[in-house]
Amino acid sequence: MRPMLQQIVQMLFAHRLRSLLAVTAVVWGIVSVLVLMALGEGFYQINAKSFSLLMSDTQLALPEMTSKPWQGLPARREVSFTEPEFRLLEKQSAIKALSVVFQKWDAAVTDITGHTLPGYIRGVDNNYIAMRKIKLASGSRNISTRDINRYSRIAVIGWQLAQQGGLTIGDKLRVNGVPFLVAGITRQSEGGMSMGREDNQVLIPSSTFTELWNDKPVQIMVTPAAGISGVVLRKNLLSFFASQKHFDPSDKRAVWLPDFSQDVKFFTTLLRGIQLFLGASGAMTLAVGALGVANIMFLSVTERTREIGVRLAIGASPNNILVQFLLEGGVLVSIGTAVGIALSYVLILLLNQMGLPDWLGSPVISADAVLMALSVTVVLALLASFFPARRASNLIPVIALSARV
Amino acid sequence: MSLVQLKDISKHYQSGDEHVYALDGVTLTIKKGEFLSILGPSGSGKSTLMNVLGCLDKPTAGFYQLDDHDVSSFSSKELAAVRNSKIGFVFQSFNLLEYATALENVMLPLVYAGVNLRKRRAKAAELLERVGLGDRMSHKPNQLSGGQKQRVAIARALVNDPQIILADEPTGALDSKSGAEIEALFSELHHEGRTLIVVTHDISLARRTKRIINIKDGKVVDDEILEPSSTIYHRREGD
Ligand SMILES: Nc1ncnc2c1ncn2[C@@H]1O[C@H](COP(=O)(O)OP(=O)(O)OP(=O)(O)O)[C@@H](O)[C@H]1O
Ligand SMILES: [Mg+2]
Repeated sequence: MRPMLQQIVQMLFAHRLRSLLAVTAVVWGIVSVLVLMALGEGFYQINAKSFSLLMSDTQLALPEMTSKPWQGLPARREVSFTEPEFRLLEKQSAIKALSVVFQKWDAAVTDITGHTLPGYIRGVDNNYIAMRKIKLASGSRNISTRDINRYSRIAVIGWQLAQQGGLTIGDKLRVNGVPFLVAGITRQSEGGMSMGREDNQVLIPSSTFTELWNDKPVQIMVTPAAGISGVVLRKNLLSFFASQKHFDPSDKRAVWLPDFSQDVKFFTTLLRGIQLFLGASGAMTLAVGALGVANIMFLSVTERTREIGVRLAIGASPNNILVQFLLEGGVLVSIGTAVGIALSYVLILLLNQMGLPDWLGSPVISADAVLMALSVTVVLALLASFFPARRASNLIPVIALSARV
Repeated sequence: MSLVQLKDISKHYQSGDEHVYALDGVTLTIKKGEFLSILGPSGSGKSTLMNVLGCLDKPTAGFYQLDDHDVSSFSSKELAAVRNSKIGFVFQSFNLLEYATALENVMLPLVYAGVNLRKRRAKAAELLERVGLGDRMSHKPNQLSGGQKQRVAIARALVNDPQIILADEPTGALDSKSGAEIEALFSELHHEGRTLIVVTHDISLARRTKRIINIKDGKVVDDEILEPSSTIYHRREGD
């Protein structure tokens, strides 16, 4: 085996140009696959991130209006809950965590000098930021139970609002004239699509909110306990709400429980589809590369028929010849693959440093992509060298020796 | 003791309607240690006979026994092993690997015999010394003269200690001086007790051998033991 490899390296070196062409074909194919898949993966990740809330199992519930009469009560009754009513849900075993949300669209948000800022208010509990998967800029702090208990006048504000008002942590802003300390600022999401108008919100403790306004919560967020599906959770919630507010448990319009699973499925399928398409394009290029290798190997067998004859004459068995050509192809493809993978990493590094548009995300080479590229290459390499190698090994010594090359 | 036994060996080619009997019922026995030349006009079947003897080609009919083995029934894998261990072939056109050095060329049969590198190197070097190329071991074929190339090829043929050395017009591509050196080398090998079969048009080489076989149209037409060489040969030529 070792003398064989040694000979092969010598041989490949003797036919430098041909070997270089074969290696280049493979490198080109590998780079195509890996870079395209890395771009796809980056695109997937950036978009999946901005939809992380939809993709998580967190369930929203928004009280609305009944649409059916129930036990003598008319339809079109307004449905609403107080915070303590919602909090009863925390006792249910199907529910792991709950966040009650208040909201005020028309509050006057100004900076300390009285300039109007385009913000709106949300009164939230200590679970909100975590459940909503909001990331905070460094130096920020979360809204805590202490803040709730003390009716603290602190706010966590959206990064866009902070930018427009020139606000940093420790600054003050006013809500309906009441001063609030900016305790935290949300982090700007890294590209992707931004959800709603969250970048302009002013999050304040729910207790402080109810001190200012006598409103009822507009929505809750619910995280189900482990093993509870979205379908079961929604059914549970609806029957709980129906029994509390006396409406038909089949009346899905009374409390809106949005179900994003279909959209998420569609969306992830779309993203994966794009990635698959990119990967397939790369794989095509790789296949063309393999054809190049096969072509070069056939050429090599034809050109070296005389040499094969000599080897057979001095005692090489057909198997020796087969293995030699398989190894030759294998070595070429291995070198090409190694160089291709290394080059892909370098290219991706450069792409990331160059700074790609935000919507594209940052391309990453996943282990899966490398594994896929490797397995495709192994199969192609075997195919590309097997047929030329078999032709070589089937040569009859005296005929191979009479080849005029 | 017979090393080679051919019985009714035929090699038949058919191209279209044309039939060619390159060998037509050759029966021949060669003993260990013989130094034998095969003569005959061009196209008479000398190379075909050598290729059959060297297991490079299979006869269409007949029986071939080499060193007590019925090689006419061997598979291509078994034939490869026979070529590797029992036969050393020297070609008119040298047939060295161009990208390998003299030493590597001589080592090659040992690679297929599965000999380790240290022994391969030692054995190949010894044989290159033996043919007078101790100072040309790392030269590639294109850096060697024709006579030197043929000596590398002879070293390669000897490296596996074959039972029989076959040479198809070994001096055919050489000038007379190089040719004479090769002839001398063959004589030495014969005196060492090796079995040599040489196809040649070269009278001076044939004159050194101890037995001459004449072939015509694929048939052995004359088979003469020469003792002592030259005189009998001259008589035959005068016929
Ligand atoms: N592959 C082949 N197909 C058809 N005919 C062949 C083939 N090989 C050899 N022959 C024929 O067989 C006959 C013997 O050929 P061979 O090469 O043995 O002759 P030779 O005695 O070595 O001649 P030379 O002295 O010119 O080398 C020739 O008539 C040749 O044309
Ligand atoms: Mg001939």
